[in-house]
Amino acid sequence: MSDTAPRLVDFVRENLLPAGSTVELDEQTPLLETGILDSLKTAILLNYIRDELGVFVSPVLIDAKNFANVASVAAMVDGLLVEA
Amino acid sequence: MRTPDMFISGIGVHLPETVSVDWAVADGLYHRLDADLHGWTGVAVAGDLPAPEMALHAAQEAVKRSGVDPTDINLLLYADSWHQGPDGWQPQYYLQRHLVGGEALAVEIKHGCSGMFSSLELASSYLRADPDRKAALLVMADNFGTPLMDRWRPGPGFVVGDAAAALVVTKEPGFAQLLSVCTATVPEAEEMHRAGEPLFPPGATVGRTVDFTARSVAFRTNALRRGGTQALFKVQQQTMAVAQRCLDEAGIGLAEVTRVAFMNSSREIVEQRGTGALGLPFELSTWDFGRTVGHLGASDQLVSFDHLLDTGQLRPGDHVLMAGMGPGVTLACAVVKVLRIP
Repeated sequence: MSDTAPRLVDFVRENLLPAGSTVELDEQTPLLETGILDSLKTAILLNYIRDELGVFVSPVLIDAKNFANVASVAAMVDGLLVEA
Repeated sequence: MRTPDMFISGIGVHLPETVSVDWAVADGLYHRLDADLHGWTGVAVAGDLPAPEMALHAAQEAVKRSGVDPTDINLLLYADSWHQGPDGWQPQYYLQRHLVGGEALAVEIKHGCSGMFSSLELASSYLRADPDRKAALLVMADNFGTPLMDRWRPGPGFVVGDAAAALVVTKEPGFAQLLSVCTATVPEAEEMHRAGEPLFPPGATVGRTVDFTARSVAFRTNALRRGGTQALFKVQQQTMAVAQRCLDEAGIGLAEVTRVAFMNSSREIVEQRGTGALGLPFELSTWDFGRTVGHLGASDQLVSFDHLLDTGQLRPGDHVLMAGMGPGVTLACAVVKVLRIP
C-alpha cells in the first residue's frame, strides 16, 4: 500500500499550516476552502512532491479537483508514479 | 507569442546608488527580522531625480548602443507603476521632446510590474503590422521615493527601489533575439492588489499610503469568506503554465536555460515560486544581484539582464528566461537568446 498520503499529511501539517492554526489535518481536509494552499504554499507543496516523491506535476494537472485534499493529491501522485 | 523575428539592438539602464538595509534597520525604517527573513541587502534610491529623467538617461543609452537613428523609432512605450509627474500630463512626451521627436506613436503603459512584458508583446505586433516600421523604444521607470509610498514596507516580503531601463527592439538583427513572450491573467485574483479599499475616490487623491500587506490580508479574508483560496492557487498554476508555454514557443527546454531573471523578490519567493517551481537550480537566478537593489517596478528583469551582460555572465548562444508578476494578477515571461555581447 502506498505511503504517499501519510507522507503528504505529515508534510502539510509541518510546513504549510499557518502558525497557530487549529485545523485538525487529515487526508480529507479541504486544502483550498480552508486556505491552506495559496500561491507560495502551492509552490512549496509541488517542490516537495517533485524533490521527495519523485514526480513532476505538469501545470495541466494543477487544478482544484486534484488538489481538493491530501487524498486527491496522493491519488494523482501515485498515478504519475505508475506512469513513470 | 513566438517572436524570433524581433531583436534587441540596444539596452540602457539608469540605476541610482543604493542605500543599505543595515542603514534602514539602524534608522528604524526596516525591521531586522524582515531583513533576515527575506534577504534584502540594499535598495536603489534616486532621491529627487524624476522618473522621466531616469527614463531619458536609460533611453539615450539604449538608442546610442543600438545605432538606430532616434527619428527612425516608430513606437515609444513608457511602462510605469507609480506617479511620474503632474496629473494631466504623461511622461512619454518628455522622451519625445528630448529624444525621438513627434513622428513615433508614444503611449504610456500602465501595466504595473509586468509592463516590460506587455510592452514587448505590443511592440512586436506593432512592428510586424507594417513592413516600413523598423524600431520600437521600450522604457520603464519609477521613483518610489514620494509621499504615500513606504519603500521599506510597501507589501509582504518586498522593498522597492528606483530605476529606469530601456530597450530598442528592431526587425533587423541586434545583439539578442526575442524568441518568445507570453502573458496570462488570473482575473479571479483581481481584488488582490486593492482589497479593503474603495475604488472611489482613488487612494492617491485622498492621501492614502499604499499598503499591499493590508490589501493582501483583506483579500485572503474575503476569499475564505467566499469559499477558499482557489484564486491564489491558480496564480501559481498560471505562473508555471506561462513559463512552460514561453519555453515551448521559444523552442527550448529547461536544460537550455542559462539564467533566469525573475522579478526581484525575497529569497523564498524566488526559490520556491520561481526556480523551484520550474525545476531549475536556484543558482541560475539573479537573486544575488536583485537583493542588492530592491524590487524596481517594471525594470527588474532588464536591469538584471544588463547586469549579467556587463559582468561577463552571459555568452553568445545563452538563453535568458525572464519572468514577472503584476496586479491583475498578471503572470508574464520572455525568452531572450544572446547573439553577441554588446
